[in-house]
Amino acid sequence: MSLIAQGIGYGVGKEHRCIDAVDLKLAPGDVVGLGGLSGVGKSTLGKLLAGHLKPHAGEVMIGQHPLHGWPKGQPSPVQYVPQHAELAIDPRWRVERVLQNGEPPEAELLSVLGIQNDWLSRYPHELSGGELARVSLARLLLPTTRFLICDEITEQLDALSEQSLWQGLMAWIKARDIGLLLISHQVELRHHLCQRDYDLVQGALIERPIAG
Amino acid sequence: MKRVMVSIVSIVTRSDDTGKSYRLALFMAIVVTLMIWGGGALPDTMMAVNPAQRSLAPSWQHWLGTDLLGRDMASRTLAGLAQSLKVGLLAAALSTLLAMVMGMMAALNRSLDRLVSSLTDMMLGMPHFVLLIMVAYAFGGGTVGVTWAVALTHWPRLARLLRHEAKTLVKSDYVQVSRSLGRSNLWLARHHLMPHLMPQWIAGFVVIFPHAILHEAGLSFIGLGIEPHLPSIGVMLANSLNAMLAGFWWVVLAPGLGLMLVAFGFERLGERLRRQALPPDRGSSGVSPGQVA
Repeated sequence: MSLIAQGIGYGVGKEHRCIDAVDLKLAPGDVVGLGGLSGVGKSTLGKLLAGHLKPHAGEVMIGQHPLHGWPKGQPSPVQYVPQHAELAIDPRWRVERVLQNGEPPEAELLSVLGIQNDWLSRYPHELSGGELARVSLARLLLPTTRFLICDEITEQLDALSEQSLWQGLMAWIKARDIGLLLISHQVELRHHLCQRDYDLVQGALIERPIAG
Repeated sequence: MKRVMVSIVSIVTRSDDTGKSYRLALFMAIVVTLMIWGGGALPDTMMAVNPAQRSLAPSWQHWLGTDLLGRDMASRTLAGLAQSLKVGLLAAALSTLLAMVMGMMAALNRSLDRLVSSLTDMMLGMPHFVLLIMVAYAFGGGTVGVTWAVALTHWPRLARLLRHEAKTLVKSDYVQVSRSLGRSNLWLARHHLMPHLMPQWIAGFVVIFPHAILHEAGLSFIGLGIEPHLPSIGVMLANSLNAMLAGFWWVVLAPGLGLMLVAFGFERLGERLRRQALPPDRGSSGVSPGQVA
């Protein structure tokens, strides 16, 4: 079961199309990078692939089924981890409630992501950006998640924490055959982790060779 | 219990704007409770017809005088305000509940959004008092008629405000994430939308409440509201017209002043709460009480 974007387009009004006839295929276990200038539409493409936005043209398929026809009340197999973790968590919820929205994550996952027990009773504003990013990620790694779209999730982490987070996350998704679309400005990170790498330029995807 | 009391005291004694709002809210809550409780607890003998004491000016025995039938005006005003407050509370609660449901339905479903928007525009396009009269008449007048009339005509402006806020919330990342985790619209409404809309809802309630009382008085004044035998402010004002012409000014003073003070107090409280419910940058250009009610 692959995640397939078939000629998807999205824009504001008729004139400006930030995503224009994009085709992309993500198979289980694939790790694909996506870069591009700020404001070019990387997050929009991520949200389109996760079903958070509906494309104005084309369709996003999950296997043979359109993602927008996914049965209501069932967790989507494609999960999008937003860029700003502080906006992705209800500010009135304690971390424990955030993690229990959906299926509660396994203890092993919490340990892999470095989530500590004493965070559970705190509110989001009592956590740092890096800690919030880990919480935001943990609640989306459900047993039903087949594809993960990470949108600049480690931007707020220091180099050491970033490395440990990616190490843990990559081991986790590899063991479960989860496909990953990694949206990041860091070319080195994308080339280090990904099998394929794309740049989004004027609404179209251009494949870049992986260095090294 | 002691901890609760300590928290209440610490909130009420705050010297900032929030403290002022809490003090005003506490004062209005005490006034409403006393009026509803006091009005209901008054013995019937205090409001009984007494031809021997007709149209007496205010005195130590009758603080606010007596009316044309010799009934004590202070007791009748208190009972009338209690009746008006009960109707106002119920009508404002129904109206704001309807606004909350409409606002959330519109934000979560595109087809319902069109329906709610059209209904809101239609309601706002009709003359307000004419609509009130029509609904009160359709429900057969009386206490039930006036309650439904106020409830069914005061929701559109608050619903429009809540719809706008709810639509912004529905587009937020955390609601989108909950949706992708398989949460239903009802779940999103209960767990994400309602808690966030509560401050606006409370402010809307406090703003609509005095309007509800005023409209109750208006409808009772023209004979479509509370039954004439019950002491209500509107009924008392309607009855006092003849007394006014005869020079018995106290007959209109007590209910008129009581109504004005209660409405003014809640208008002030509503305005304070509305300002606090909005982010600081929107405080000055936000929705005014007139726009909600």
